[in-house]
Amino acid sequence: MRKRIPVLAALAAILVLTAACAEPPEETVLQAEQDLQGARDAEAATYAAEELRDARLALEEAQQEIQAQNERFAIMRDYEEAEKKLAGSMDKARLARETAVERKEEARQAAVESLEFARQAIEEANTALAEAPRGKGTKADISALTADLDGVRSQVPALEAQIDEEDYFAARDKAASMTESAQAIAEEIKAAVEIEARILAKRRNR
Amino acid sequence: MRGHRRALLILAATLVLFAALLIPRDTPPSPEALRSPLRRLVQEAPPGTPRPVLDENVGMVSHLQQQATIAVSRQSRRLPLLRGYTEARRLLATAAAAADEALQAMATQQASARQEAMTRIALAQEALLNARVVGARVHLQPAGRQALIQQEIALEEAQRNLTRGDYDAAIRKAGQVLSGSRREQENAARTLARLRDQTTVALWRRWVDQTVAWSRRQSSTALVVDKAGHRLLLYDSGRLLTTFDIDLGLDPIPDKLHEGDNATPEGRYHVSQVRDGDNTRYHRAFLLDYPNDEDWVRFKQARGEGRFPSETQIGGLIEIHGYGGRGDDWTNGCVALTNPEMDFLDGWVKKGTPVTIVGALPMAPGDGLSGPAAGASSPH
Repeated sequence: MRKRIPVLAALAAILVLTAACAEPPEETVLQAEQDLQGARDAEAATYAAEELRDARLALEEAQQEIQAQNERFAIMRDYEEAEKKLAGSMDKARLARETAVERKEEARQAAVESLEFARQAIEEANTALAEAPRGKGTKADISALTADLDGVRSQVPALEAQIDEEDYFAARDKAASMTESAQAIAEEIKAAVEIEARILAKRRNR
Repeated sequence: MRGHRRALLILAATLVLFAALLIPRDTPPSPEALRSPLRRLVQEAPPGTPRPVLDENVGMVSHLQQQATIAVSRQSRRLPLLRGYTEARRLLATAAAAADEALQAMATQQASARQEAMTRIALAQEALLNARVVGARVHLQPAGRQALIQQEIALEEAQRNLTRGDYDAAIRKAGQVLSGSRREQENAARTLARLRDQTTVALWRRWVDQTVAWSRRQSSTALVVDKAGHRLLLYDSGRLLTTFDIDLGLDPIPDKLHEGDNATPEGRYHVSQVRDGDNTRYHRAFLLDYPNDEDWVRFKQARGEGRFPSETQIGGLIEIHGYGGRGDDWTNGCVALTNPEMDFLDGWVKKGTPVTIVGALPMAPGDGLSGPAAGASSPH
């Protein structure tokens, strides 16, 4: 029995020392910060704002927990809760990054699709212009609408540049506006052609 | 025995005292409460808040919240009886107040940005509309039309930015539209300015007076075309008989300079040929003797100045013809009336009838140009 007492005392001392030596999880904090930066670099602020917000909040809370533990007696410090929060932050940061990458690709595809729609609308208006009879009755309208369509077409390089610069939301907005304008021009061409047809009919009946 | 009892008493007293020291005097804020200010700030921040603004507020609230957490931690070092969390609660309340204030400030800032974006878009819309109105008066040429349609696209983009909550982009786009539209409006206004140039207007007035005087002296018919007023005036024996609405060339404000400019010439001309039946595609037509000597002088001077390619011709075939009445300028430089009006004029106009075309015809006292003269009637 007497022999056991020093052993127990030594074990207790080791336990105390171990507890006293609990260190703040600095490496994990660094890793969590890197993960958060990774999410930001993947433009999570634009494409996965909520996920990024959650990751950031978890990291802030983990850092506060670490600070709170640092203020305690060394022997009393326990970073387990902080570690949990850091792990949560890293998970959320990864989710934010993955979501951002996924949504950015979706936005890119949507922007490219919008560009195609815009091109198609311009092409359709252009075909309508080419097929419109160039009588004196439609000449003014056709000439004006050609200028309008040139104006829409002149925006295509700017739209392509927005896609190249990965400004997908702005690109989609521009493409949608261009499509609407081109479609409106096509409608006007149709109206001008109808007027010309009426004039021609009137002449034939003369 | 007595000593033993005393020892027991001392032990009991010590235990009671120790137990008393372990009874907490105060309770700390809950972990949830300690996390609340920052959570509220981050979760309730208005969407679209610029990141630097949000970061600054998060930093501030996080710091205060951390101070409260540290204050709680510090108390844990003390004996429970001695622990007090007043300072922690005060710091937590400060953090909560800071979060509230920041949220309110961000909401106000966002509302203000939204309002500014809406105001700018409204201004841009107005400027674009004005440019369109003034542009319609000068019958915008291709470059002007292209510029305006680009502004229209930009305006739609600004509206989409606004809907998406991207107020900075909306403000930027609307600003572009505003300046672009104003530029186009100024360009159009410059074109219109020639209609107010006193020397030119006086010259036009003189031409008209001379034409009317000639009509009076010769007891004959004369036509006056007022381009800005889009009307043709029929005079006989110096008397205004009637006026007609007309359509002009695609570029209705400037004077004609060369072939293909789609402008209607200004000057004193004569009908060189009356065409009808199969001789014209426009129901009935009065061919004018454009270009006259003055037109040639201006044309040669402009060519000498390199204002157009040297191979450009002066043009011709300027007529007053039918199929007009569209309320729009669509000819290559001719003057168009409705077919019945051309039929009416045919009774008055013959080869040699003077036709004076002016950019604008300012009203003069006793002009009687506000409408058809009393007693004007068809010659048929």
